[in-house]
Amino acid sequence: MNPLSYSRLRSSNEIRRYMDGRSRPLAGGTDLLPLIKTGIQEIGHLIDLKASDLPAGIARTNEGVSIGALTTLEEIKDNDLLQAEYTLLAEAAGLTATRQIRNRATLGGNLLQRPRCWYFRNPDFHCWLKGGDRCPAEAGCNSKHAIFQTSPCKAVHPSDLAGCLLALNATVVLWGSAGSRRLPIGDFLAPPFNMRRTETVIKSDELLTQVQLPPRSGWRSTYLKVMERKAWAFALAGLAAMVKSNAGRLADLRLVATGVANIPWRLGVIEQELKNTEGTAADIDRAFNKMARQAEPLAENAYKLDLLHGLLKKALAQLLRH
Amino acid sequence: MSLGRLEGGQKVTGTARYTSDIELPGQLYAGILRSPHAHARVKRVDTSGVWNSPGVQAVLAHGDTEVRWYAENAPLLAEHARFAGDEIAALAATSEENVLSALRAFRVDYERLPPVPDIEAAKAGNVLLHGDKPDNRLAQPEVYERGDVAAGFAAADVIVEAVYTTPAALHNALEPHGCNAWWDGPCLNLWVSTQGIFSVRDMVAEKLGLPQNRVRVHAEHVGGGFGAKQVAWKQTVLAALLARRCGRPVKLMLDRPAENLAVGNRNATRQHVRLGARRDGRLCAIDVRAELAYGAYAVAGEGIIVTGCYETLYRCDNVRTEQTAYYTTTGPAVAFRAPGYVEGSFGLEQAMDELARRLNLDPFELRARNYAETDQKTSKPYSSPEALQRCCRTAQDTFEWNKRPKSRPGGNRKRGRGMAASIWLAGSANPPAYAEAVLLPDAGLSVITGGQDIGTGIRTSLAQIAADALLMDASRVHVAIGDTVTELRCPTSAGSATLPTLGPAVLSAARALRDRILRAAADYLETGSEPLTLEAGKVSAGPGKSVTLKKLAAACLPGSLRGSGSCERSEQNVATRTFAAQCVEVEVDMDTGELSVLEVVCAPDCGNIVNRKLADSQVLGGVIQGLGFAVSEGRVLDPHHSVMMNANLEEYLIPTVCDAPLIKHAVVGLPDTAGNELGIKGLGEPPMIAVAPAIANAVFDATGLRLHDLPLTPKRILDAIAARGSSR
Repeated sequence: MNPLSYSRLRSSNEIRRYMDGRSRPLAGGTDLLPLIKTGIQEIGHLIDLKASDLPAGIARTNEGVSIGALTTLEEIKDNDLLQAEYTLLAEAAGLTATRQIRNRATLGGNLLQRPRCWYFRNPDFHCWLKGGDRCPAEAGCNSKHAIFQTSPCKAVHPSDLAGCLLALNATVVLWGSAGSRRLPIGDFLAPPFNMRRTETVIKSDELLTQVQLPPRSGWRSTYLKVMERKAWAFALAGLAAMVKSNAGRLADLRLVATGVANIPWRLGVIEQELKNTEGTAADIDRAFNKMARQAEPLAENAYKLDLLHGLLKKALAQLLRH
Repeated sequence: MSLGRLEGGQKVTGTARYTSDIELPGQLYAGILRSPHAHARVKRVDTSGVWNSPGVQAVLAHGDTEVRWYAENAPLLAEHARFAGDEIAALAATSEENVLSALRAFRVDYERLPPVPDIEAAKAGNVLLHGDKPDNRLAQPEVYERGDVAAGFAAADVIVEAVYTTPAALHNALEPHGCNAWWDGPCLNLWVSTQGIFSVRDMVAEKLGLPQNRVRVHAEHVGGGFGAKQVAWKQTVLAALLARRCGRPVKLMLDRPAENLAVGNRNATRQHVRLGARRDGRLCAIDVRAELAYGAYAVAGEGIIVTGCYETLYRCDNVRTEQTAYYTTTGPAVAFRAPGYVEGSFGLEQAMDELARRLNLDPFELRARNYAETDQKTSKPYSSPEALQRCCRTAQDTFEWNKRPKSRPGGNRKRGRGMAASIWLAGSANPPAYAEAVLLPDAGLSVITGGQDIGTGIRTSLAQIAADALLMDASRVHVAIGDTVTELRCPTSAGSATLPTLGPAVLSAARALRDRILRAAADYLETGSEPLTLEAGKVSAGPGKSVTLKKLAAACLPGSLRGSGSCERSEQNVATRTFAAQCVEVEVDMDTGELSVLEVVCAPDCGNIVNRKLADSQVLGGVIQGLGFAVSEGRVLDPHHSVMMNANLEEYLIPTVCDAPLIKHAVVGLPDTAGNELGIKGLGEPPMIAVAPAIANAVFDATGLRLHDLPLTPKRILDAIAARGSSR
């Protein structure tokens, strides 16, 4: 382990002084600390935010609901307001990691975590995402990797919550030396490319401070996740599904798949195809097959398409049953 | 009687001291540099940066030691690395942090060689791992034959044939391998996380050229072993060498990746299985060819017999088995809870299920029609010839196999049930074992023996056996284990042998002590020929003539009330084996490929049960480990680099409590007195063996999909559904 300094700061102004690009903010640390210990991430200084006056907690606002970036996943899982109106988000939090980790891990850290790809996490592989020339997963062990290709990196985004926030069309608030800016989550999350080998557009002097959810009355939602064991695993694939129905028809729907691309993957084709249908099995199959043409599975992961198809059927059956 | 686990309180409160908890004055810490490449020549190890790293006290690389390792006699520190994780160098430093920094300061020149990741690559033989081993074979194929297999198949009405594969599985005991080594003059002390203090003692003495009485091995609490800790691995000797160089104690605990890479695994297998049967279900031919991806080196003394169950579980006159082990550029294999039989049963018991379906027979009935009462390899009768029958009946009854209605869950989910049976060649005594029982001046009882507790709770069972023999309260007994200086040699905790070997030794020690007490009491009470009874802490020679043990002990020479016991022989006229039958119910989500195991009934044959709670623990642990092997565990190896990708507990998925089904221990309780009058056999391994095939058979029952490859992940199930249907 390389030498590491640490400060625990209270005031936002103090934190702002430290945000010079060489320091890294530390919240729950459930991802950052393992990255540092394995040498994947080289950090000189950590700024602990846990005792700071940065926003934490969940509150209703004029524009919907605001969640502080320091809110833990366990708080999100247990929150009455989220359970009632943003069901999928509370469900996704409950399906993430374990209670011990959820009590520590924060929303901000969850959105900024790095991919769990076993090549990226192995210090002996200098993969493309770490600045290397190529992605070893492309011709290697890729059963857990992307089926929609947007980047030389074949890893998938690990967050369950990110998919739900994209379905909700949430906004993230970034706060840095140049002031704060608001970005739709769909712009915040972006596939890595040659000049930016990360999964978000956050700058090194910025902090993610808040996530804002627009009002979602009249929608029903769920998040379904498939893992290789019943708990404490990342998604092979997940589906964040929201529907608004009217007289037996799907008046509107938003569908986002997780575990299938570098970023949560909006299933726009399926949304369009299913809009104003009754969501019958035939409707679902037709819509899914049209979308599936966009997929480019790797050697070991064609099953993820079947999985997504299955999740779509389950989610709509569940949401239309009411 | 179900005495609670004696050290349970210590364990749940965190006060039980494991090897990693031992801290000595002047303690140093050590680490190992491992090859990142699966196959490479080590051209140069530059240690200059290491010596500039803070706190470094000693460095060892190839050339610094003459010690050689493995059956291949390879150098302790490799100049030819044969798997990613092979040991290249080691160092000792003043803190664990300094060890990590210093390990990063090594500069090694590797000349990379092509890896041999699997059986196919090994057989191709383009690259030889060991120059003197053609085709990368460890040895000539091991062939076993009885009868005439060709004639058997010719006479068969039904033949089933398939290829089954099982992945390399990692033990992943919660406590990693490790030790603390310190020299006391010419004597080496080792605190080791091990299943065999005497096996480590003997091996370290041999490797370092020390007399055995100058090496003392301690193991008080061990956080699991499952077979991987039954030998001394390199780190034990490396720690001793570093400690000698530094003149200070050196602790060397492996980290989780090293635990997954370098200290054993259940080797991957490929089994080509063919069974032939008559219309009435009687087997007339069994043929299996098993191939093993054995890893880069052979651990001396390991005998993994994948074909064993094919040769013995069912009665069949015509059998041919062939087993070939291949070197691959992966970590060396070592025994893992019923080695060979877990892998073999996955193939055999699915093939039997397939046969039962083809013949339209109940799977229990098919097994009854092929029942073996003798060990067909040695022609000796089984010590409990009816044991498997009893297991089957008990499992069937508890599961309500014949009465249970087929449940139909909603949606696109399907339920099914399956069974499988197993035999295990061990579970009898593995002599010798020695024990001492001493009545102390305060009338407490010390039982001393040279075993070790790998988590089974052996102290508790031995305390019970001693207390029962002396008709005293078990709370007055203290069992001391885990120290070679006692020279009360006991077997390695392996082969489900601990209780059936140590139990009789402790019983005979307790009886010898009882005799000694009665003689002393006869003198004390000045009795003639009246019979003496020892009960409830006192010896009586009739009304009004008695002495308490406390008084008696105080009157005798301190320490003189003692008895020695042993277990020095095992039964030779019969074949002692352990059996089990299991029934499971599963649910498969056909939309997502998710497999849920809902219930497992496990009926293992272990003779008399000494302690029900501890027996239940073995059943729970074995079934859960079998569940992991069946549904989620397995080494993922990059095919180009031959590097394990999931060498951690985040990606190597052992079951969580949410994965564990309802597990019922269906008690068979058939005493087996051939080996000992306690009627006991071992129980560590049998509950694991038949879990995976029973689950796979239940998956077939639910879905009609015969899955030949473990683990049964959502990918495997969805791929099988796709292969059957038209999609994709």
